[in-house]
Amino acid sequence: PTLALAAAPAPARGVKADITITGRVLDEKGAGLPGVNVIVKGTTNGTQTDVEGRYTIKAPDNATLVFTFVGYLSEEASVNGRTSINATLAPDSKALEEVVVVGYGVQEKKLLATSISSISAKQVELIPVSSPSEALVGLVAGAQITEPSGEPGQGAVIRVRGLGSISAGNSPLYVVDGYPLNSADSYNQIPPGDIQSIQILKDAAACAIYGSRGGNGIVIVTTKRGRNDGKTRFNFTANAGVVQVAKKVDLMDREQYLDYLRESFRNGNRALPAQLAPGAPELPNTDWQNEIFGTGTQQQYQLSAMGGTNSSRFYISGSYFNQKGVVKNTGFDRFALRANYDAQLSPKLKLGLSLAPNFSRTDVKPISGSYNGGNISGGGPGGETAIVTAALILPPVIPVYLANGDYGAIRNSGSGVTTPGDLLNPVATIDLYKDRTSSVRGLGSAFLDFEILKGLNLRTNFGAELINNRRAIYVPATLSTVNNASANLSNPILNNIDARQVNNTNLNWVWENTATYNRKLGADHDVTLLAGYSAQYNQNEGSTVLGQTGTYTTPDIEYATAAGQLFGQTNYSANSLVSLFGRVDYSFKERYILTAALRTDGSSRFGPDNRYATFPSVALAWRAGEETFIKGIPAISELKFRASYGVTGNNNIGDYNYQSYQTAANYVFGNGNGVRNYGFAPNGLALRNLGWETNTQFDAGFDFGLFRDRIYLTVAAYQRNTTDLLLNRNIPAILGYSSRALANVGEVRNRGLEFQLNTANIVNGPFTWNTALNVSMNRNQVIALAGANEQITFDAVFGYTSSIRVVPGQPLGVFYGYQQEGIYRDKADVDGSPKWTGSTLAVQPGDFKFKDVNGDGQINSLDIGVIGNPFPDFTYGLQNTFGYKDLSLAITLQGSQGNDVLYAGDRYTFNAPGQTNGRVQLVDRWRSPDNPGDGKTPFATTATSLRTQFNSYFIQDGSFLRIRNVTLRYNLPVGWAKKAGLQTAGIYTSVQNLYTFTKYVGYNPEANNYGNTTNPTYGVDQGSYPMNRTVTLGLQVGF
Amino acid sequence: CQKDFIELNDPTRVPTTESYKDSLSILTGVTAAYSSLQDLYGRAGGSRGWFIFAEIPSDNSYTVTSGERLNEFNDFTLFSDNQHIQSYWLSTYRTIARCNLILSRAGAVKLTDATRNRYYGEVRFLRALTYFNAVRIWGDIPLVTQELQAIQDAYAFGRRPVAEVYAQIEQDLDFAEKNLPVTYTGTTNLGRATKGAATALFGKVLLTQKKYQAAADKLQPLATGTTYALQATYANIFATTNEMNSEIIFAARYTKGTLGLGSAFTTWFMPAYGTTQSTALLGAAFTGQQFNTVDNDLIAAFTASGASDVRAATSYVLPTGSAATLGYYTRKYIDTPTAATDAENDWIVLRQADVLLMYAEAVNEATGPNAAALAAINQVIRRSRGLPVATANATVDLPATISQTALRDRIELERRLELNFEGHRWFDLVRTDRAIPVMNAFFARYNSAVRIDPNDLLFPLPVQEIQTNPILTQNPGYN
Repeated sequence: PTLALAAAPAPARGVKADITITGRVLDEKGAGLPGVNVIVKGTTNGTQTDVEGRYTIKAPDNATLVFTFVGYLSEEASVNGRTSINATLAPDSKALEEVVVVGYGVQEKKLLATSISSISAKQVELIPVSSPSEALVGLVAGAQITEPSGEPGQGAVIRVRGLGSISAGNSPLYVVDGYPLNSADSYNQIPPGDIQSIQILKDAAACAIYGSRGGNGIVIVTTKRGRNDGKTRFNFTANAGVVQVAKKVDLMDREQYLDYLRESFRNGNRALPAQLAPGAPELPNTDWQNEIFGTGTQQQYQLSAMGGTNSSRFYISGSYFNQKGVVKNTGFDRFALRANYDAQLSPKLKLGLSLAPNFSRTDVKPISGSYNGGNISGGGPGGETAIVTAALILPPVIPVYLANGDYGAIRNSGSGVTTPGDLLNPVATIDLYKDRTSSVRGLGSAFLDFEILKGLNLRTNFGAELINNRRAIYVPATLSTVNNASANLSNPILNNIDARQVNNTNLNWVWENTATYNRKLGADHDVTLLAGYSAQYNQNEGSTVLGQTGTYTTPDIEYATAAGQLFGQTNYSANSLVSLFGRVDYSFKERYILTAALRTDGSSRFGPDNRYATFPSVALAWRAGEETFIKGIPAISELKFRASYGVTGNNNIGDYNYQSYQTAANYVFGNGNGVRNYGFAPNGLALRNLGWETNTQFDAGFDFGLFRDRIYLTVAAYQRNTTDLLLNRNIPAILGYSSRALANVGEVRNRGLEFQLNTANIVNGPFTWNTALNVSMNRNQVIALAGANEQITFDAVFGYTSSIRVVPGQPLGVFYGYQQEGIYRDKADVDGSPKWTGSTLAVQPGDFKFKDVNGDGQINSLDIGVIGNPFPDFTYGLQNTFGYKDLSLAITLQGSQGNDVLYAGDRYTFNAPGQTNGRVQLVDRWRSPDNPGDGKTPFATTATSLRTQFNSYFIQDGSFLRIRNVTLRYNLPVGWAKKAGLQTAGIYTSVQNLYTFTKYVGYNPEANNYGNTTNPTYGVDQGSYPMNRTVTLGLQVGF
Repeated sequence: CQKDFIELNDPTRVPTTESYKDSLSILTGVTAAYSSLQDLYGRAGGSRGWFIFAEIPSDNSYTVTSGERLNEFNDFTLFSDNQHIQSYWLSTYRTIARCNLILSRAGAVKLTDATRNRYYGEVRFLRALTYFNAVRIWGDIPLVTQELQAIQDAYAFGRRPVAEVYAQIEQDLDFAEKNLPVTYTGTTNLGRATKGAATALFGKVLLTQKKYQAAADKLQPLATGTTYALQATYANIFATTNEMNSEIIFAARYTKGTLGLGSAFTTWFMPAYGTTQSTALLGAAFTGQQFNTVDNDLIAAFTASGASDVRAATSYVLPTGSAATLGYYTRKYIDTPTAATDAENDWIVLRQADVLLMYAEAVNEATGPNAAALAAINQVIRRSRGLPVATANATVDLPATISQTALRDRIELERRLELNFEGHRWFDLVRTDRAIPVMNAFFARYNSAVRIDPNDLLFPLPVQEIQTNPILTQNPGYN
């Protein structure tokens, strides 16, 4: 055998023979670096290092190994027959090779000429929120991301570079893995743990590739996909914690309230009801906020598996999220699955599949708005007590429960104690009102990518999303509502029952075909050409079944079938879009960069004379840092100037709006009293040229990197003009329809500046510190509306008529009212000041004193003007990330300066002084000329006074600085984890909304009753769902 | 394929582009034209209608509600931004557009010539009526006689002289008279425009233009014919159980029952007292709005007419339990509504008594009193005294020797008393050039500071229309 062995031919020198090579890859600190790609140069043969940085690979003995790892400079090593090769990688702080998703493609960040903000998974994965929009708060320059409500299941509101539209909405387009979503809510239902990166496309040059849907910016989400190293990695995260009201509103306590009440009655010359007079038996002392708020809980679990080979890769995850809100019996939970699969079917043909089924349940209640007709998320039956609003104004002397177990309330009937009518018990609403929405969403898509020639890829992509919402609403016989205020546990009223079953199905599909050609011409010219065609269709169909009031026969069945007679409504709408688009990316020596895009959209929403819209854009960038005269300055690692111009559109103008339809116009013919004869007439003229709203945007900026980009500053300035606004304008009535019709008229302008500064303050050694700061400023102005002297008015809340207006020359939706100068201190002050002529009221000392704006010596409606702007002067975010060995601490601050908020809880307090409770500041009211209080707060009286006039007293400065998130994480040392059979393991704690520094008295200076509304009504807080403080403990293990 | 893909229609509604292709859609289109009569004469949720022009400014009526801006009609303080002016303008041209639509579309639809001409006749009658009302309200007005296809087309229409509008009205009525049936067969068509309706309206149009002989000739067959006959009892004309009776030539029809076709006049004109009084009076627990309240001057006119005038009892009543100072209520629109503003009462546009009085007036103005004229007015007078219409009565009949002036005055009085609150008084006064003296004397009688001048004889054009299309001009005296 020895002989035989010796006789075996030895491999000749120069002939390739595979040998097994082992080694370890270390980082700059000498620690093992896991996950490094080790590839045999010139082949696809490769592996990755394990948790200790070790690897094993088979390679020819004369091969070269290439070690690459994100964030590090790649290293090469010749094998030369060695079987043990160690390598040390140097960090590449110049992480410009980062790739950005730009819509129908990707682009290296350094070659980007447009304005795009990019957020990676790392930045958001540990934040304990339900939706990716909430995770973005405070992180993005140039986008206003606010959280107007803490209601479970409600995401944050994203507005990119201000508001351009008055009636067609300001929501950006959301694109998930190339699929343009029809509904923003589908974006919010993506578990943040599935997200690889989020890009926010801000300038028109970046957005023009989505044409008529790009006008409000684009949010592109990329979910995680598999890897090709042949290993399967599992990752499990779990976190759970408690949810509390971040802040309560300071209200008057029982004694302060009774004092206020008695003074109101005394000043109003009204007799006190006996039970409220001094010396009466002690009254209850209820803290209504304590009664409606509790400690909620939140838990989140996700298990994912990721892996694959060169020929097939997968990412599969399952997750569960559950939140029980701080308002009792509100909550949200969600099961989500995601399977992303990629296969290399042949060397030239790739297949990708994504499936993301999702099931969620939301329990909502009437929370905010009118005390006797609360806003219910998603709409609902009217006349329910708004829980938070009622808790803020219900006097503390009302007991939660009466002796017989009934809910306590103020009933106006006969007693005359309240003027707001019946102030009903919010705890009853919490206990008894039922409203659950169950949603099933399925988003699936598949693509085939064929490399027909070197560099030329043809791709076809088909996806569809089906959303089904089922909602069950039940108002029981025992819940007191505005229509049946006397209903109570001991007094069920069958007529009060309102049971509804709502069903809605949305089907959306998209088919896209693109050709991409990527070629390097010579050494210096890099060209990418994209051309594509797409079709998208959306259809919505739904029905509501409800029982007819008064026909319910039993209080025990919580379903519409409990009614003797059923009613129904149905709805249907659809729209479709076909598009052609193309883009050219060209760079010369990676120094001079040109990007130009063009899209033509044909939409079923546009009138036939205006059916196709074309949106061009161009962007230029100059990487001055690559010029030799700057390359010589070692400190400067990047200097890039860029400018862009583009046109985008907003096609949310409503389905069928351009068309004319027949409407009923019946008449009476016949003997006797006659009978109905059906007639039909057109509802209007076809608006044959109705079209999109147009956004024209200029953007200019620069990127400046110092010290290998350890300091990296991005600055952008923009001007965005929105024209062709969808507005109703007057038309000659001789046309015979309405005197108004939709038209594309009017203009709104947004101008802004945004800064993003990232610094790596300390990088070497066990202690590290990174900082990211962003500052955004946006100035919004209405340039023109449908006609001269036109205003569009909104009522901020019921009773404050036209208190929000859209007026040319002002920002969209400013507050309009009287300007408070102070309080009339005494009789002499009343006599010596301009006279109130806005009504016949004789003004008393202690009442509001308004400014005579026009100086005519009178105060009346002519003095009503702008008293507040809901938009901030600037917003900012600051993240600091500290690391010490295996510990890391991340702190995110979020702030806003100069935004005004209407604290509309005051309206009831002031309309019915003493009969409703109010905030504690009322204690500092004017009491007498010698005791004038804080000089702003008027006297307490039930008599008619100026307190009901909408004025600047009710507008508050909503500036704030919020500790948005603090996350402390400890990674178990690798050795320990390994002993446990794990690859990685960490525990962390995260606190969301730890504290907010603000002078604003309400729960949340970002509150808005109208949330994600289309109307420009911002900054209105009337019992909004409070901001939550969430404290969670979490665990992450990889195995 | 691509074009089809983005051509989407709402399947829950019928697109206008798919309509007017068959006889049914033409029929429903004609019904729609009639439907807008409810706006022209008053519809809840729509235009207040004709009474705000024809009754409130006159000495028959006043309005109590000031928040509604109806008082501007009463006090001659009208501003061109008054919402009722805008609303009536819109209702006017909506009616005309619906008529024009039929005239432009029915030609392409398979129909027998007789049916098509009848439809044309109906909508041309409606168009004539609408223009006749409008030309009396505003004077010169835009004259649209074709279907407008695009918004920009409307900007070409400025005001046309009154004479041109009347010429169009006469053409329309001439066609209608020649093509409409005397009566409709079947019981479900009652209420459609008839030949008699066209003739009666034509007579009124001629009379208004002071074409007295032509008016007399036009009205003569109706005044002496048998197609329409006075009701024996005055009260029966207005009974909701007796709609479209022998005396009614044309009416804007309403029916109650929450069909959206109810008549609002009961509620609108009802006293705004507590529901107890309303219930006692009307049997319906709704609060009235008192838009159109009987003026004491009309009561005085009835008092002067004498206790034997049976029309008084049907014309006004003092609500139970209220003081006389709170106002009288017209009884011509009393009903028990199904819901507020959902009552049965039709609005009578043309009736035989009107025709008889117009005929007498036309003859009197053309030739002076004659037997035919006196025969006509005497029928009305006899009934007003509860006497048989056809039997001569020396006590109440006008003497054959009556002078032209005396007859003119008597016709004016009889029209006021006979047709009160039916939408005639103000335009009767304007037609006979009596508005300024009568109204100013009325104001003086009641110590009112209001006086009217020739500018007040026309109403303002809605300011929004002038702002929207500046080629429209405002009537003198308004801005």
